[in-house]
Amino acid sequence: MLKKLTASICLLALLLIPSMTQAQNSNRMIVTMVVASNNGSDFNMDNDAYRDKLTQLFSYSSYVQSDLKKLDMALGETQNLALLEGYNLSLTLKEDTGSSIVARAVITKDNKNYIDTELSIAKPGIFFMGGPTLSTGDLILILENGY
Amino acid sequence: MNELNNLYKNWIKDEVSSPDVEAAKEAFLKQKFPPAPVPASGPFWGAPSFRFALVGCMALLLVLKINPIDHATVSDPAQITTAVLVSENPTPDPAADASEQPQTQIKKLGSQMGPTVAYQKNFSDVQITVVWVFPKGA
Repeated sequence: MLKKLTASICLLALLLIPSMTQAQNSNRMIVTMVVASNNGSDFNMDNDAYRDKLTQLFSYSSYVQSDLKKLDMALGETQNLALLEGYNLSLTLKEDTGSSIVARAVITKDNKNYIDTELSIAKPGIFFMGGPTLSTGDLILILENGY
Repeated sequence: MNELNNLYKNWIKDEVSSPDVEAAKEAFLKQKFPPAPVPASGPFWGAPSFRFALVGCMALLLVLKINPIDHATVSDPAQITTAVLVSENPTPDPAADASEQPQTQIKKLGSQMGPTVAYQKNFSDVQITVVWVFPKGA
C-alpha cells in the first residue's frame, strides 16, 4: 500500500514538474480582436468590462469581438497570429523580469509594417493596438498579459 | 539844556541817515555778512524729513537690487509647484513613485503605413496604453 502511494506521488510529481517549469518560463498573452465601426451601435464582447474602456478610449459607435486567442509565450519566442483580412500579428517576448515583460508586437499585411512597437508591460497589464482598416471598420487588438 | 540835547540828536540823526553813511553801511554789511546761499532745489529738498525719506528709499532700492523679488513665485503658486517638480534633486517619495510609475512604457513605435500615436488613460482598476496607426489613404 505504501509502495503504491509512493509510486503515485512520484508519478504525479513527474507529470506536474514539466508543466510547472513551463508556467514559470512562459507568459500567457490574451489577444482579443475587435472590429470597431460607426455602423450601428452593436457591442458584442465576451468581457463586458471593456465596454466603458472602449467607449472612453475611442469614438466608434459599434464594437464587435471577432476572435480571442491565448498565446503562451516563452522567453525569446516569437508567435504569429493570423488576424482579419490578411493582417498578421507577430509577438515576441524579449524580457521577463517577473513583475513585468518587454514584448515586441508587429501588425503586418503584405510585408508592410502597420505598427511596430516594443513595450514594457507590468504584470498584469493591458495595451491596445489599432488603426488598420478593414472592410467593415477598423481593427483593434486588446492584448492582456498576466491575467 | 534840552535844546542842546535835541540839537545833538537831530545832528546825529541827520548824519546816520545821510546817503553816504547808508551806502557805507550797506557795503559793510554785504562785505562782512554775505547773504546765506539759497539751496538750488529750494527749501523743501533740504528738509530733514525729506532727507530721511530719501535715505530710506535708497536703502530699499539697494536691498531690492541685492535680493530681487521673484514675481512669479509670489503671484503664481502653480509655477512654484512646477519649479519643485523640475527640481534637479527632488525629495524621493517611494510610495508616490510606485503609484505614479506607468504600468506600460513604450520603448519603440513606428509604422511604414502612416503616422502613429500613443497615449495612456488611467481607469479606476487599470492603466491602459493605446498605440494607434493612421494608415495613409484610409
